[in-house]
Amino acid sequence: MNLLGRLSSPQGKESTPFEFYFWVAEDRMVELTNLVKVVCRHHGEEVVYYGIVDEVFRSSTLSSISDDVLRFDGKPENNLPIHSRGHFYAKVLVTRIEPLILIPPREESFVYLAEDEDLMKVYSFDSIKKPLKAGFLQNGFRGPSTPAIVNLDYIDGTNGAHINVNGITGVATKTSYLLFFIKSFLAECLKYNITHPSGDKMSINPIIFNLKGEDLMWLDKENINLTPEIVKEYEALDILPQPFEKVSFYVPRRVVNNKESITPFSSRLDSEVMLWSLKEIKEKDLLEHLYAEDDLQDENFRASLYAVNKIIEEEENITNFNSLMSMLKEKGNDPQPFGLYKSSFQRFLRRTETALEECRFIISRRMDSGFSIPFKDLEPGKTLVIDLHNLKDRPARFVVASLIKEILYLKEMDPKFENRKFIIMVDELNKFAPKVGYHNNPVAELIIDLSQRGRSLGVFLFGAQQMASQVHDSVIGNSALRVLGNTDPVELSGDAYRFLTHSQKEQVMNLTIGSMMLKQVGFKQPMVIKFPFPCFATRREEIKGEITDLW
Amino acid sequence: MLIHTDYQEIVLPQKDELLIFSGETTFLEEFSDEFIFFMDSGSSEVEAEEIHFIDGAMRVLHLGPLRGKDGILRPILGGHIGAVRLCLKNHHLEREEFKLQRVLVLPREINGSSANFTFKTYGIEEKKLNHDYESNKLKLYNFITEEMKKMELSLANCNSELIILDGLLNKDLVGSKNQTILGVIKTLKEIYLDSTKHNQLITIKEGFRSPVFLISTSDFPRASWYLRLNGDYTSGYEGIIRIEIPLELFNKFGIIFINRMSKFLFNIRYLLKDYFRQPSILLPILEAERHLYSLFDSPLGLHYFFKNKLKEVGIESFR
Repeated sequence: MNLLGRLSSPQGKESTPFEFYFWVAEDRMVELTNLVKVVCRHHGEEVVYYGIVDEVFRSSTLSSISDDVLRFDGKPENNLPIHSRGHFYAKVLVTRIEPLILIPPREESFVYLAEDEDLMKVYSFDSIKKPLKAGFLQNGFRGPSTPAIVNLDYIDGTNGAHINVNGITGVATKTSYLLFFIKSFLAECLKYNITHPSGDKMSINPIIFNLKGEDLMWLDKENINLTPEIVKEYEALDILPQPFEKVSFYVPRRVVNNKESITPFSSRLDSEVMLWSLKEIKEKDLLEHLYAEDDLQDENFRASLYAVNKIIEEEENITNFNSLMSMLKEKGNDPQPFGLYKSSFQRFLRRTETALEECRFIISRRMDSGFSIPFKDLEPGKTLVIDLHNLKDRPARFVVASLIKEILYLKEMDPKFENRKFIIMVDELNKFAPKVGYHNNPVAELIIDLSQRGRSLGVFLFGAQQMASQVHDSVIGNSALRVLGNTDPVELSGDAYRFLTHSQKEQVMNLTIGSMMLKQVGFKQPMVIKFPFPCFATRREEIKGEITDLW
Repeated sequence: MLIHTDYQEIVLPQKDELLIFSGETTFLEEFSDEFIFFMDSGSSEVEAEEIHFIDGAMRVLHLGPLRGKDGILRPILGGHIGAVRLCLKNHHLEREEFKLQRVLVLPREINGSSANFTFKTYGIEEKKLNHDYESNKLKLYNFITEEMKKMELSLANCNSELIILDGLLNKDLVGSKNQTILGVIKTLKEIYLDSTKHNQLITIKEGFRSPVFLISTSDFPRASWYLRLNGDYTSGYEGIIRIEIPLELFNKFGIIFINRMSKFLFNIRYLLKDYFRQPSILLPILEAERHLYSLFDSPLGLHYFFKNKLKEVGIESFR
């Protein structure tokens, strides 16, 4: 065993069942996030403590800097005959006590680096019945590693659901991690279905919203930068180092010179257009999703909305938005259209015109029927990428709300989908489910509802944002797995991160690309993991091989 | 309960530090009216590859009074004593050897020094003590000090070319081995110079030393000199140490050695502001004391240790 040092518990640094300190042997190195093991005896019984190094300190034997200045006589160039006898010591957060007994470890106990099978015990991986690979456990930068495991029971709705990832855009690799996690989840489903040929299958469909550039439009393409080392990493995690299989891409249509078309607005030739007409909006009760929350907070505006919804329901000769708007404009000239204030109704009309204009890429005015995403025929395991990057806020929120609503409806009403699970992956949750201003915000209310009921329905929110402090508490609080990439220090000072120690916050601030901190329900302490470079292209330039299906 | 639950850690002035100079000082080198030398007049480095430092320390508790056969109350002392030898090699200081012992000193005759694995008991004959409680305490304390010095002595019995000892030299330390041994005295309580010269000491500047003089008051002659590690006249005698070597060594090595050692000691000074005994000390001596105190029982632990031992042997302390 790799002996690192001995436990020390002097005054002010007393051990508890949750943390302890140890000094480091002169010829050993201890890093932040090193995983350690302590064996000691309490009344004859052997008790093993596992933990993670939360902080590493270097201390000289001096009591103040002025002592040091005096020692060198204020002259840094002075060489002294005796070098300082400093030492390293570390603070450890206990992650597991075996057998469980809530008393602190004894002073002077040996502290070892966790290696081999001990690595499986630090976070109790060995007792997880439904394991899911979440990357590689960081054991310092030089310690031996092992696949990091999370409890699938807290992901697949059995005991919990939802993942929330936080971090600075471009540094935190939030999207890459969520995609890696989905890949791992899909691999686990596949493995489960092979090993359980009879009985219920694990069927899952990831629905991924692409919000920035065309980053997620190449999930089915191999990454040109995939090296043999990265391949090995995937293999060590039992994940095929291949791009996503069975992916469909849904994109807005092109609108040129105000001429409606059904051509996909995408670089991908094989993408399909998603288009809503009055028919789908009526059937799925989506009209309110066209309006801003400021308007929906106004009672007169809502009254107009109810009236128009009723007309859509009742008037059979109104088949598209053009016919609806003609009728409403005509009615709008009445002194009290539908018994409403004329000015309020006129305002409603103006807002509707604006909304239809802004949503022209996804809503047709003249067509009697649109192109729905065929959820009902969705093959298990198939991934859908919904491209929103060309859309403004209003149409983007409309699409997100429409699809979530439809999935929730299918899960609730269609017995065919009883055993089917859905993953909804959305970035920028602060925009879709803000902490402030979620009242009368239909998409926010839907996402909050999803965070609360999704677990029991089998619809899991894999959300991400730059600042969790700006996302509704329910969305964050209901996430059984919280993942932190490199995060802004100001953000980390908020209440949403009170579960982190000071040192853990500093670690989060300094996480490098490809490293994340994970905190799952049931884990005593967060764990730091590394995950492999994406095996699928994340940019057009990364696509390996001949490009045949792109513009 | 046999003894008080309260305990008192005591530090008393040690034996033979209160001698008063009487007579004339014999200087072993010539000096001008200024009396003071800058120690580094081109002196070279100490050549020894390994330099050893020996220091002892003790933690003594006053465990309570014990009534003697004559009805007089006298103190019981218990302590943890130790000595350590550090080795300086390649700029690194490491602990080479140490000795530790718990000692219980009783103001009552016992059949010789009783020893077991955990502590030693010494009984001091009542007739060697008097009726004054405090002076008896000092006697027992000095007894413990002597035991500690014996430990230091045993650690000096090693194959070392150069040994620096914290405290006074004694004849036993300077054995037949071909060793160079220095004693470093941090607190100036003895007076070896006439009052004018002694007063002049405070004018010694940092890094300067006094001329070498002869100490013949002890049972073996020594050459000695003062060296200021830090401070100036405003610090008084604080910051000044006294060094002594056997006269034999001085005769052998001469002034060059004195300067070389002075420079070395000055370079390993440690100017600790909050050191409880003096604002300047040699770093290895400080380290040695830290080693020993870290190995000692805590005062509370020591108190309960002796409390239980006294109970076991049926000694009842006066309450």
